[in-house]
Amino acid sequence: MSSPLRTEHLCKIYRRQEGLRDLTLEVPEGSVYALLGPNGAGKTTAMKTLLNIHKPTSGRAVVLGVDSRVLGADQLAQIGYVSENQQMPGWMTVGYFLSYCKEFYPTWRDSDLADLVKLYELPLDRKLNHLSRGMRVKAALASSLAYRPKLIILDEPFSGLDVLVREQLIESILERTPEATVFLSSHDLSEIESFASHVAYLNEGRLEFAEEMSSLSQRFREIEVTLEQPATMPSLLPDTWLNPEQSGVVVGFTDSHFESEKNRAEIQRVFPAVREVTTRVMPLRAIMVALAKSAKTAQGAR
Amino acid sequence: MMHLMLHIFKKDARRLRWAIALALLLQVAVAYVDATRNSAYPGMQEGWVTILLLVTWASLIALAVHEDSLVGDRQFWISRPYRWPMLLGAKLLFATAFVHAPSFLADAVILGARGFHPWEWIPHLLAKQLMLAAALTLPVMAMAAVLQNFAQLALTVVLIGAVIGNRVAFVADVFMSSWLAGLRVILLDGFLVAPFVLSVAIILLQFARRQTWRSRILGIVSVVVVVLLFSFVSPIFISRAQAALDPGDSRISIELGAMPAPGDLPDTFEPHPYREDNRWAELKLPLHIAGIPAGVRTYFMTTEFELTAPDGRRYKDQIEPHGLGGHWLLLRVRRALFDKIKNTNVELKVTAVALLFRRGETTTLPLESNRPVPLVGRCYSEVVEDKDRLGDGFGALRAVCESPAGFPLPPDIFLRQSGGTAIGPILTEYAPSLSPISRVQNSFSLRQEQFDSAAASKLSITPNIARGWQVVKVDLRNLHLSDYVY
Repeated sequence: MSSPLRTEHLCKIYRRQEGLRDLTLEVPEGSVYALLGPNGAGKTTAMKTLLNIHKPTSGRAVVLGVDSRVLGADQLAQIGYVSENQQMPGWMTVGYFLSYCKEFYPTWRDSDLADLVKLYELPLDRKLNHLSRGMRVKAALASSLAYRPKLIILDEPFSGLDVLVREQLIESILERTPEATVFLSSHDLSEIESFASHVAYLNEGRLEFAEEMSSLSQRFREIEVTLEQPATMPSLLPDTWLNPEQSGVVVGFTDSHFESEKNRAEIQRVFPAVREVTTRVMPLRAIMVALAKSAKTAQGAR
Repeated sequence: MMHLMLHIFKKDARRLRWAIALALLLQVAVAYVDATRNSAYPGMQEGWVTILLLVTWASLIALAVHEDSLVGDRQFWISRPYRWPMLLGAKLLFATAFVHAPSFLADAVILGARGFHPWEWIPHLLAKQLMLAAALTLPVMAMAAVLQNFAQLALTVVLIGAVIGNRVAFVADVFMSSWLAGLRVILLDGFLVAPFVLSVAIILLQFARRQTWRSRILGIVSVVVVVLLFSFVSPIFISRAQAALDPGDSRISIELGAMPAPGDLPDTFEPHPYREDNRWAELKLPLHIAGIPAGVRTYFMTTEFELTAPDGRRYKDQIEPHGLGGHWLLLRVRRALFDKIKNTNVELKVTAVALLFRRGETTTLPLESNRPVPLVGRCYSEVVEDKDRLGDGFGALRAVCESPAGFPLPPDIFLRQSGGTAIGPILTEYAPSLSPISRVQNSFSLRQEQFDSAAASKLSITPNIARGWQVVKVDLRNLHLSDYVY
């Protein structure tokens, strides 16, 4: 199986509001694929549509080789899903919850669960309702990793958790299920930067881009151009320059398709008298901020 | 899949153990009171406990469904490998285990305690559970399946109750003699078939597809269908249905008889409640009834009539069962209409449904004994002082007959004194309840000397054996209504 998760022109419309627009992406097997975007971008809608919790309005999604519309128990037994807003059976103790889940999974491993319980320091006799949010996420994760799922779908699982807990959970996912494909959503870029292999950016239900992390880092650069003398910013700039700003003789922008030679040529064409050009590698967080800002500006212009 | 169904069932049972315990406790209380009751009336306590039991059952079923709620997109179970048949199976198993099985067992125990062998009445007990499923379990499951929480469900029940409540009361009134007596008619005319079928459709759609809005629309359509259905169902419709199901072997015909002289009117003529009401005119038409086979008697159930005035105006109404008593047809017509047409020639079309019956062998019982009576069930009596209910009498005798099969027609019961005098009951009563046993109660008022010599008196009980039904139509022309004023 080349891709455990694929969408083709996936659309989801809630009454009159578009949740997803023409989403096409392919998640490679074994990858850690991060779906990023601001709140309300359609990440949760995408995940719930993949899991057949919602039906797509048009287009389709193929999950573990099956159309998401007919995704059933056989596929769900190979998928681990944890969401930040999942309603857990709060009356259950952690121990009862885990033993309850166990019966549904033929591949469940008690030894894996014992390790996870120990690692997460889960109090088996406490009710889920009485746990902190972090502990509840740990219990949900333990119940979703103990059967070694082929596909792990995580919907903002770490939001609100402290850094140490987050790191612990991420490590445990990657260590316990090395062969699994992980598809996770987040609006907190720093939490996925360290381990995501692929990244897609969703904005207002539309996919802005989807690519490997390494190529994304190479593609984006923060450029600062110092001019010889003050000049008016030309109205027509290259499309790949995002968020251009000018302060005296200094012009700054984000190049979203950075290639050294091409970038230099474009700068010389736009600004004839350039004293200095500074190019900086951007962390993922800065890239996302630039993208979000650019989208907002474009929206304002419309 | 079976073990996963049991797994979910055990989870629900664990979660709702206190509610289950409450339902079982109430069931035991209802069964105990019912099994020890020597009256047709359930009494205040049994009434409240029964209502509480019904509410607890409904709550239990709804809570079990909401344990794995089908509405919403955040429940933890919807991303787990559940199969819908096992989930539905678990919920049905829950309702069977904690509502129907205890109810069935309690009914069997009540029958045993009242002197009936439960094994002989298994079909009746199962039929009652079927009705309970159609009237309570499945509609509640359907509502819980399309509503998000218990508060929404309670509100919906109140709303639906307000819409169809009066029709439900009507149905209860029609069949108050027994849970089971009208089962076939109920199944025929859709009182419970409609809720049963529609509930099953909603449950299947929602469990299989979780298409909440479609299921809700189907639910609203169901309520509308049930309301419309109930609106079309009238007492005459039910009687006609009974006649169609169980036609009697006779050719009864009715014609207008000769009006007797004023002094020849029977003095047993019962006063009619409308007689004192100036808005209505009471009419009394003598009838000549022919075609009744020898040894067969008739009891006219609800009658429908249509009056056509010379100018074509029509007036249609239904009459309570006592409207066609003996050989008289009693009609009530609006005074305003009557005044306009009383001296004209009108046409009167009457449709009546006759229950044909034969009297069985009379059984004589000593007072304050409890014995089986063939073709009736079991009967017993007790002498009680009950001046408040029975008026002037010094005391009272209460004779109760019980039968799991119900009483399409109650038996005739008389108190025969040592001198041979027969006293008829002053009150014959039924009361609806959840009981698997139908009871008919006859009360006799006793004067001082009758009360003192009660030990020497006996009860004579004669069953009335139904022989089928017949729809009788009468078309009377050129009637001069003022000749028949009551």
